[in-house]
Amino acid sequence: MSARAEPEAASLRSGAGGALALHATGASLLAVTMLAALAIGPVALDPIAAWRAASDDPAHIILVGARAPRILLAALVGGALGVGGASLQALLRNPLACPHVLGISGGAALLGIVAMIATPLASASALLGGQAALMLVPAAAFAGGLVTAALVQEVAAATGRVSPYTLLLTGVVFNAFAAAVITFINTLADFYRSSGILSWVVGTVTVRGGAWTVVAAATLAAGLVLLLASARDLNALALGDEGAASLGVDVDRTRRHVYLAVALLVAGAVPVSGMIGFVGLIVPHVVRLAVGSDQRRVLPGSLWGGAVFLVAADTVARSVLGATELPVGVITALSGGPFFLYLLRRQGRRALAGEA
Amino acid sequence: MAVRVAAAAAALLAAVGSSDITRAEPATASASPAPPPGGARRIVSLAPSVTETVFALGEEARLVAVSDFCDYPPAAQRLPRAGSYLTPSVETIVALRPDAVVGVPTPGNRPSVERLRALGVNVVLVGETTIADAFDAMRTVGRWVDREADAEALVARLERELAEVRERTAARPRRRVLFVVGHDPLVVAGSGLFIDELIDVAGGRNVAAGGSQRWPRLSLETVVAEAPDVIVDGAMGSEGGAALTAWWEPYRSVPAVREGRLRAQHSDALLRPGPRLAEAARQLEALVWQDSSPPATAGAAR
Repeated sequence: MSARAEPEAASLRSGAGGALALHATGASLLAVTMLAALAIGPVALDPIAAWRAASDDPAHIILVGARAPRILLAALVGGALGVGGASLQALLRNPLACPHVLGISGGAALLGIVAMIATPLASASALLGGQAALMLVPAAAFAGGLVTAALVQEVAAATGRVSPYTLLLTGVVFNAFAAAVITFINTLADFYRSSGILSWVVGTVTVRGGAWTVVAAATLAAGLVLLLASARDLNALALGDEGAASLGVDVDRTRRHVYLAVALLVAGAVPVSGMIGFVGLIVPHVVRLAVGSDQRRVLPGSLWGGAVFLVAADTVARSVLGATELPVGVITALSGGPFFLYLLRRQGRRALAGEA
Repeated sequence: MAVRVAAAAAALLAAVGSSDITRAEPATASASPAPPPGGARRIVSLAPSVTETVFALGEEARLVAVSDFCDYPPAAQRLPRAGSYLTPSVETIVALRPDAVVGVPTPGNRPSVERLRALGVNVVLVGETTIADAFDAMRTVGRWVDREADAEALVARLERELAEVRERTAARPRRRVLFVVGHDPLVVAGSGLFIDELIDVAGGRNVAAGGSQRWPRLSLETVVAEAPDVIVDGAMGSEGGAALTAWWEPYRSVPAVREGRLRAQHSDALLRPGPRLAEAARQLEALVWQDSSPPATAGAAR
């Protein structure tokens, strides 16, 4: 916040008018995608007629009770993952960083699942009331994300100078560990719970009820505020930790803010969608192609971009096989993987060397 | 620790969205040698339905080990374990020197089965997808425990009891039924499964039988559009009815929700195509019709 640092690239397309245009473009793109998604689904219906129909009409309930909440949730989760990926890529100066790759989603899912298994016990023993029990899972996911971020940073720092690749390797190892524990829990779990647990691993946008959506929206807002406040410092970090420090940026504080914000974003997203890959990884790259590398534009751009991408991917996931749903993680990987390779090929080494 | 993971554990893999792997494997007892005179003396059962059948035929003394999921009848819980239904323990089984290992083809146990056969262990695979598969499985088990006539009698009794249920429900108008095993995502019993057939026996029509998958992840919109009259829901399990009502509440246009025919159930008999098939059919009949008295003509017909 105290920093006045602005690398050359940052001044390219900035300014108050630019920010407004960026938000207007992002919001209209998202609105168009969401409206189109409302008209697409396994059950054919006319959204306008369905909206006007009586409140107990099946078409109205499909639109308002099933389809719209799902689209809204996909937008929130996609925005959270997009902006989370962008901020981690800036913080670590590593184009391969995102909540999923670093294991932060895995840590959140791990504790989230433990809380989900424990919730019925807690509410049965009257330790928690109905609504309070609901909050247990996001709270546990937040703790899991934060602890993982701290752990990954700690282990990587213990090897001496924090290399981005050490960090990624630590994240990959932690992900494998989390997946193993989740598989173990699943092996012990009740048959009727198994599909629910496994859906966390694959990544599925799941409408669990209004309270969960409110939590996802609240954590997204909180994380976003925290990150936007750090955007200038993240710009300075493009010069390296020492470079940023020489410009008066408190690097440790910025790092803490970003990890805290990402843990918040993930705590809202993971309980309603599991571990969805590729959104946080590829969206920031596409956004940087469009808006340049100033984090004050990349972060909001990745918010809108992530939301658009996940709403579109989830629309495919819930309609392409008719009545049967596909986990959205399959779609994001299928579309994101080749696209990422295309980006790599197009930009050659610069994509990987990136802003390091 | 309630390891209630029943015979339908194969559904997990289908439920995560992978294709229906179990379908690819034809359930054949081919390549297995004929049972020795007097049947196999040492048997390892790899499936709850097989274990239940061996017990039903009174030949449990032949069982030297069962799978982790074999928890019925209660006496089965005291038998040594031979690994899980999905991944049997090859070493444990070889060490037991069984005359026959009887199991069902699952997505996960194929490598173990091939390994066991390569090591000279006699593995007998039986089907458990449809009711006819289940009856064939009982006859095969009957041959291996030298109780062929009793197995035939068991099948005949089950056929008779299923026919009785069918007879009771025949005069009723069909109710549209959804059989749920998982929420978030919604996983239901689809087509080609014995559960689908049991729903039919119990006087219902499975609204999820349209596709080709046995355990489809059904979209909520499809459920609303299909408008089932009864939802048999095992997903909430022990948490019971209130949680179930709350979960379904937003979808009031569905008759099962609007008219209060959400049925919480947690019976493993409904997931196991074994000697409790007729019991499962009667449970399902009760779940589908518990709010309405039978038509007078059906009672008079007996």
